Parts: sequence; C-alpha cells; structure tokens
Amino acid sequence: MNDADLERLFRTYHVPLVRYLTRRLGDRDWAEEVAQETFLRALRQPSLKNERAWLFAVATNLVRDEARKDARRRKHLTLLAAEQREESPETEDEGETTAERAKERALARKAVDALAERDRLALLMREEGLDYHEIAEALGLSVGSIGTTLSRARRRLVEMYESMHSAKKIGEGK
Amino acid sequence: MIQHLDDGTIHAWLDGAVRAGESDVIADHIAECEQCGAAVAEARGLIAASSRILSALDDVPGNAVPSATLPSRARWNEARAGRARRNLYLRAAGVLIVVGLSATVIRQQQKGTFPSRESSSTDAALSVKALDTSVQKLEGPVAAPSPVAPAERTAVNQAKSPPPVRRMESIGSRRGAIGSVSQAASKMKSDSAAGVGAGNAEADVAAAAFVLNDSGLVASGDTAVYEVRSGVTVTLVVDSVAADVRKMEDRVSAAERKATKSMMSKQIVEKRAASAPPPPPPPPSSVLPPMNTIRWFDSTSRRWLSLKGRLTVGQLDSVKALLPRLRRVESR
Repeated sequence: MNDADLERLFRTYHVPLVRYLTRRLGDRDWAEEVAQETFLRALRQPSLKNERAWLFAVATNLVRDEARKDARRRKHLTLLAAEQREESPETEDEGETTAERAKERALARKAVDALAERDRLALLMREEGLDYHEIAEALGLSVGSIGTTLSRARRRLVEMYESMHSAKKIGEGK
Repeated sequence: MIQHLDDGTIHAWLDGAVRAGESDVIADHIAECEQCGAAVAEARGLIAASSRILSALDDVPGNAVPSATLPSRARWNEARAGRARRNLYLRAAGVLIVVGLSATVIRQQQKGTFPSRESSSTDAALSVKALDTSVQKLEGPVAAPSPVAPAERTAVNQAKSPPPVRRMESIGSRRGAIGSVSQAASKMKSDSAAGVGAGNAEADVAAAAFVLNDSGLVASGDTAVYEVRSGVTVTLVVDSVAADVRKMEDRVSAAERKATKSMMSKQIVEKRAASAPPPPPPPPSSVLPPMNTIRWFDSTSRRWLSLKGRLTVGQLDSVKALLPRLRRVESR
C-alpha cells in the first residue's frame, strides 16, 4: 500500500474506527492505540479488497486478542471508572447536564456490556455505517443473519437501558 | 399475500439491506398489514433509541472525534522498529567498540610498547568514527532525516556546540553521544599534537589509573574525573570491594525495573504525541541533562564501578567504553 492509499484510508476511516473502538472498549486512549495498530497492519497489506470491513475486522480481532490477556483487569477498571463517574458527586463547576450525561454514559455502558459479543459488535459496526455484507465479512457471519442479529441487539440494548434507567429513577426517588 | 414480516427482515428493510424487487414487495405488505406496520414503527423506534444510547458512549459527540495527523510511513516504521533498532544500535556499538579496542591492544602487543598518546587517540577517533558511520547507515533507509538533522549532525561532528538536549533519549541523541566522545577523542588528539605539557602529564595519570590488560579493567584509585567534552565531566568511582554485592544488585534491578516502566510510559506518551503537531525546535542554548549514574561489576577485579555525570545513560555507556582513552582532569 502506498502513502496516498494509506492517507486516504486514514482520513476516511480513522474517525469511525476510533469511535467504534471507543464505544466497544470504553477507553479512548486504548481505542486510539488499537486504531493505530490497525492502520499499521493495513500499511503492510499490498491491497485491500473490502477495506472498511477489513479494518473493522482487524480492529475487532486486536481487541479480542488484547482482551484475552487482561480481560478481567480491564473490565474491572472500566467498571470502576464507570461507577466512579456515575457516583461521583457533582461539583460546583460541573453543571447538571454534565452529570446527567455521565450517568447516561454509565448506563449505556452497562447496557452495551450486557449484549452478547456478536450482537454488540454487529450493532457497533452498523452504527459506523458498515452495510450488511461488510458486517458479515468482518464477523464471519452470513449476510442473511445480520438483520436478525441487529434486531435482537437493538431490542435488547433498549430494553436493558430502559430497565436500568427506570430502576435508577426509582432508586433516586426513594 | 406474504406472511407477516419477521424482525430481521424489517430491520434489514429499514437498513436498506434488501434487494430492490424484494423491498417493493415488503413495502406493499407493510402498507396493507397493520400488524407489520406497527412492527416497522417499533423497529424504527429501536433503531433511533439504540443510536442515541450508543452515542452516549462517546467521550466526545459523534463526528467530533479529532482526527489525528496522519503519521508518515517513516514515522510508523520508526515507531514499530524503534525498539528493535535501538537494540541493533547497541549491539553494533558494542561490537565495533570491542573490535576497535581489540585491534589497539593487539597492535600494542605486536609493538611490545605502550602506545603513544597520539596513536591511541587516533585509534579511538577512528573507532568512534566508524561507529558513527555505521549508525548513520543503519538509520538511513528506515527513517527519513528531518530537516534539522543535517545541521545537528554537522554541529555535533564539528564539535562546536553540544547536541540538543531535547533529543537526548532519541536515536539522534545516541549519535550525539557518540559525537561527543568523538569530540573528546579529537580534543585529546589535538592536545597531544600541540604538545600541551599538562595534557601529557594527565595522559600519564589516565594511563596509570586504568590499564586494559588481559585481566581486564583494573582500577588503582577510588575516584577519577574525566572530561568528555568542554565543561562536561564524568566521575568514576570504585566502590569498596564487594561491600554489599547483594544490595547493589537489588538496587540495579530496581533501577532496571524503573527504567523499563519509564520506557513503557514514554512509549505510550510517544504514541499519543504521534498525533500532535511537531514540537517547536529546541532552544539554541543547551541545558545539561540531570545527573545520571551507571554501575557495573568488573568481574576480574571484583569491584563495583560507577560512572556519573550530566549525560544520558546512553552517553555514559559510550563514555564507559572509552574510559581508558579519555583525559583525566582531576583526581581526588
């Protein structure tokens, strides 16, 4: 891959890839690192047939490999960070909006983590604009199963989020 | 009349993932079937809600993720190959220094006399020059030189100004360290050629302080100060014989662990900095690095030696290899 191709690839896909990874990992710095490694691997490829699917597949595999190494530690840290943000008392500098967003983020993280891995990845990829063929290629699934996977993932995500949201509101009301 | 649509088909239809002919059939059915129409409405709501939930995961709003500056191929290669290349440099430096010193020792043995100050300085200068050249060859095809690199290299080689302190930990600084030693060797050579009396006397002291013979490095004093370049000195301290070997080893291990941790942190910082704009050029005035110390155990003399000075660890390592060649300026 020459420099021009690499630059085009980077400018086209860096933002969605980092956002996908940030949503997947809950850690922006980690997401940036994985994205860098992904583009580095792309650089070594002579050419890419379906570049977006390839990039997301490689990034997903990198996360999976990394996660195998220290899954428990990272999950623990992520949860701790999310809980800390969720439970941290509001300071004078932080407006109500910021605190509310932090709570929503923590709830969203829990809801996303509650999804099955395949459903979660398919949903996150779809949110970044990958079509059904690209998702199927990146995840090694049949194209015909993607609709079902996405419908299940969306329903479960929304239901989980709403149930936690309701429970939280009831808890705050007491 | 088709059967009621399943969720997967509805989501695929809403996502535009069904073929045109099939899409028309689905659209016709939805228009006629109240139940499927309601399912489609629900699916639309799920799609919108899930997007909203996922957007809450972003540290920054969607499409506002600042795009990093595209690292060049050379910088990516640099980042990936940096560690391997540093090891290669160290190995190459070690081999060349050993070869240079061995050649000198062999020549001395063949002559049967202790070499003159000038010849030893020349050997050291040649050895260091060869090392510098090899490093440049190694670095050449991997990392394209920055616009300031030639100027820095010229400044270092001509020994008119010390290397930029900001690059002390980089490969460039490694070359700078070598250049500094080369400068010291050149200085010794010029001192000797000019017949500076004090220099000759100090050369004798230096020769007496350390003798590189078959049994290795043997120290005759407790402390010696050497000038590696104008205004920069290093101090060599011979610790008491095996005073507390275990303690020293522990300290070295702790220092190594600390250095490893520091290096890992630095790599992460460098990765993050890769997306930042390049830092401003270093100020013209040089600032000496903090005091650093390296320690090693001379297995032959059974002594712990330490070398400290306001140089980087890499520079101290280079100085260590050329200790017998350096000019001793002070003795305590």
